Amino acid sequence: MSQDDQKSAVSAREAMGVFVNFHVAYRQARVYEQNNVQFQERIRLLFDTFQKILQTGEEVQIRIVQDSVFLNQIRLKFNFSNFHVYLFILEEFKNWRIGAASFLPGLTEVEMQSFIIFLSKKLLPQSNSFERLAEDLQAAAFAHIRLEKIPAAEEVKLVGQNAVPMYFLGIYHLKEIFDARHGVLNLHITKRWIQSIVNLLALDESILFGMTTIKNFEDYTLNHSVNVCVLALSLGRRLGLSRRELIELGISACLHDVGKFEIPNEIVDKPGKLTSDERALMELHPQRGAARLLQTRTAQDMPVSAFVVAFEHHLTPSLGGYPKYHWRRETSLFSRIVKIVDYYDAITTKRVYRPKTFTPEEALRLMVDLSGKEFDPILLKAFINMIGVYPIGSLVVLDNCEIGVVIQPNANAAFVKRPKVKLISDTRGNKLDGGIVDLVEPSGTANGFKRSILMSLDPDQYDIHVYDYLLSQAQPGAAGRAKPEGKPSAVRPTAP
Amino acid sequence: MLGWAAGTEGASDAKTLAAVKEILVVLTQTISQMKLYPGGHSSAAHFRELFMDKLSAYFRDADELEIEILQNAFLFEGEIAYQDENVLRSLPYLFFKDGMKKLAFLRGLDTDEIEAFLATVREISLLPIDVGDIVDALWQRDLAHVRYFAPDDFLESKVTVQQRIPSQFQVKPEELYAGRIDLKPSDVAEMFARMRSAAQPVAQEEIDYAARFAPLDEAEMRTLESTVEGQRRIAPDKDFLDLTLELLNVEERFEVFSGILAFLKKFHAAQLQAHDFVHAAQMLGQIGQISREVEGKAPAKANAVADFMTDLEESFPEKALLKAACEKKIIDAESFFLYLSRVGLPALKLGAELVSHGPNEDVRSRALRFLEDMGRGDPQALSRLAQDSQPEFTRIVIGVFAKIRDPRAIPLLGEITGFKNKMSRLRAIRALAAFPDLPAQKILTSLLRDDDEDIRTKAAEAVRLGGDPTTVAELIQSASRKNFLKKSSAEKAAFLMAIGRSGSAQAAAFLKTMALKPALVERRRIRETRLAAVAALEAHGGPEAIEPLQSAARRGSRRVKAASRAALLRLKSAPGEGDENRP
Ligand SMILES: [Fe+2]
Ligand SMILES: [Fe+2]
Repeated sequence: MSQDDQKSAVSAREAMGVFVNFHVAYRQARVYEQNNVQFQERIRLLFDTFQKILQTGEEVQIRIVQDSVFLNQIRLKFNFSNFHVYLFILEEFKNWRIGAASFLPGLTEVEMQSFIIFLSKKLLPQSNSFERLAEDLQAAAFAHIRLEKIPAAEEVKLVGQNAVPMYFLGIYHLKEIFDARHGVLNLHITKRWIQSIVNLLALDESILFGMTTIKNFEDYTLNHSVNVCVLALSLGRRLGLSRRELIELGISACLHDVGKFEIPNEIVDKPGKLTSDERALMELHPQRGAARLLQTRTAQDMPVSAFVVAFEHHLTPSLGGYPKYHWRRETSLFSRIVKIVDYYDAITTKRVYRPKTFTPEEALRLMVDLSGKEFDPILLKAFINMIGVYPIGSLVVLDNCEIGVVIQPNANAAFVKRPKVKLISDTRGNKLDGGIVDLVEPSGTANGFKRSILMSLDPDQYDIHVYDYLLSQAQPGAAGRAKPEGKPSAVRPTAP
Repeated sequence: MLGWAAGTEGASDAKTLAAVKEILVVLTQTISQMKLYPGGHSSAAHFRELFMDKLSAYFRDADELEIEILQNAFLFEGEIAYQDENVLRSLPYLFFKDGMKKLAFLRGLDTDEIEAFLATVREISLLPIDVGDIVDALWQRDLAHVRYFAPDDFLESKVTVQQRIPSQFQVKPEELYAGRIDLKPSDVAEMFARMRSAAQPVAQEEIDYAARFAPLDEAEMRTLESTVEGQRRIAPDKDFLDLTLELLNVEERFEVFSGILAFLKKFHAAQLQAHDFVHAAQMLGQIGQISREVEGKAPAKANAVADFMTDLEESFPEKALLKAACEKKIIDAESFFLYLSRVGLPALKLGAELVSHGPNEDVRSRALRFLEDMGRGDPQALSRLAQDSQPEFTRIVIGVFAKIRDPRAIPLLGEITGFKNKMSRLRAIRALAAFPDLPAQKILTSLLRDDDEDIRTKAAEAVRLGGDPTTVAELIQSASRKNFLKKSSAEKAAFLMAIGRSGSAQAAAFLKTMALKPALVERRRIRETRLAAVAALEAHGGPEAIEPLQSAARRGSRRVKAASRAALLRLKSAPGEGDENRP
């Protein structure tokens, strides 16, 4: 973006600094008094960069266009360390239906500070959030700050209702390409599907995360492959992978178990323990998959990573597992990503041969125990930071005995145990269409939080299909998902 | 107010429409010029600049340029701004066929992005219509100021979708919230246990466990970022080859095994064509390992690998590679020669060609080293390069043999001494001289009787007869004959020197008679023979040579006296055994 650098008063680096400082100041404004030293420091840092631009006569404009965040005309590229900043800004802007916020020359530090405090402390109304905000803003008379509403065309996309059909479309599509057993795999459509999934993840990850609680639809391996793909893409986005890399990761994830189609169904679906011969055959699936991909390789379409991942996805960081390598000394990044999400999805899926299904929480606990040995420890941590200790779709009991379904992880990795929960029963077990509660909401008492998760439950034990609750949030007619349902005071994300 | 999708007010006036029409015409012209001419061509560049100028002019008054895409037209604000009757080949169709409905350029679009956009469109328009996907290509390019809208229904039309949302997932909200959830006794017990433990100090185990859920620290984030960067540095070709070879190594089904080999053969040919010798060398090395491992264990596989290797040898593109190397098209000489060493025998000739005709010193010396390595491994094979009709190759082979001093090369050099080409023979003799081994001396000895005087002379100069009294005796005998005198000065000198170098008492005695030989007839020939004998005595250098030299110094002709005295002086001043100053 050298061109941008020349044209703008700030560099891409400084622009990123603006977002980081904005994010921190915004969060601090919720908890600290105005005269808090740290908060003041942050405001000064932020204002210094603003000044640099404003002095040139330009305005400072933060704008969101689809899934991109711009500062003036610089689009910000996010990686793992600042991905939460990106999610936070995107979510705040979308909640308020803000398309752009402009700070005009003449802005003072006091004005900027008051605006941040004003916005951060404001409660999100049930409807017409932008109009209400605009009214209040006018009343507060911020002379050098201007907000624009998200254009109507963009707003349609916020609903994210396409995620549900798109998820199933993925399963149908994989069925088609796997059915063409010995034909050439045409990945043209696969690529377009992955694009749609990445676009949807950018709009709202939680719907798709929720969809991954669907298992065994049509066929175990197909459904599993779509889940693995969604989770891998999501982790890949956090790692700052480019779109081209995401396509490659997505294809690799979709095809990771393609070798299972070469193993007899009686073995793949055999109830009970496999004999050692059967196990040996089963463990051939990575190399069978890689061989199949090699045989059907179409020069342009098939990324190399697809072979690599098919071959490596049961290998541990120290090359334990299967199959064995003769020359290579490490597994690829994509394989390590797929290994984690594959394992997670597999053990949270009920199978004829697996007497016990792990709840997401139990699955993660097991995986953490195996960290390093079985999984790349840092990637595993990043994965858990992403989905939370209680991933979307977890059925949970709160410490006040309410029961709910986790519908959105906390974007801030410091609160992995405090997601947003859709309440589905009251404290006595009566089912109800409860609101969405954010577990970071403070209680006002010394111990901190209004609600905490006590434990997770196995939904099968209670004949509850968690995805019904998730889908009901995603489908047309459902109220804005991140918005409060009936209890506006309960949903403002507020740090303790 | 800005807003990319909301439309810019007042843009629909005729002037703006005219400007947009111009932009779109220039866009299509630019693309067709770029399709016709390669990158830097002036005509394409001219249109590209024109397009950029027109866009910049447009963005002086507007924030975005959004066009709607129809099968054969672009619309701006609902009006036709560009139309092409030739639907299938038109630019609108290129976008339309992949499901794009709208395309927009945003203010802030810079030169790099425009170039990238145009290059992408060009690239896709050159592909067959069912192969290229402009939506996919633009999405992957991820240009910050180019937006498009391609709704998902395009995708739905391409996949056989049984139900958009399968019926079992159609949620009936009223059913979700009716009834009760009664916790199982085991869950209730667990709940109470957790409530109790929440009130107590947290166990260390729990704290450790919680730490593993903590956010990534600075160091972990850096590691993660460098992992991603590291992954980006891996060349896909290398990755692909690595994996294919691993797969070959574990594949137990014979048909698939040979299928992979067939695939690798094609891959190898492509690598050679691209002058990518790193991977070609790696492949041969690893297949070689597999070959050793399957040998004896899996005969079918071993045969397949052997066939693979034979094919490779037979199709070794010696001429093409020589041409490429001489035209300096091979950049990575190190990998190239590593590759040649893996190819082995079939590459020998190329190696020899490069020793003589390599484009520069680096290539020539690498080629020589390659041949030396090959010679060390298998002198017999290297010697096949040496042919009577190929004196240049023969010269190289002899040079390599002289350098590596491998006794296995002796009979091979011996064969060369039997060639017709005299230069080759003489070179082989010189090389044999460097071998103290008996077989080498035997060959040289046999050459003392050769028909060719030069050969005899050189052989005599080279031979060392220290351990061979019979041959010394034979030589003395032949030198005693009358016709010895008639031989050339050089040959005589060489023979007498050979006798002298043998260091025997018998040799010294004979040389004494030669030094003091009376010159009744053939005075000139005898004179030179006497002097040669004095020199040979000096070469003898042993105690037995002193008395003859002293005699010659006293009784010889004037010249013999002088030569003998000088020889004696040199011998005395030469460090001998027991000398105090020996190093
Ligand atoms: Fe697998
Ligand atoms: Fe799997």
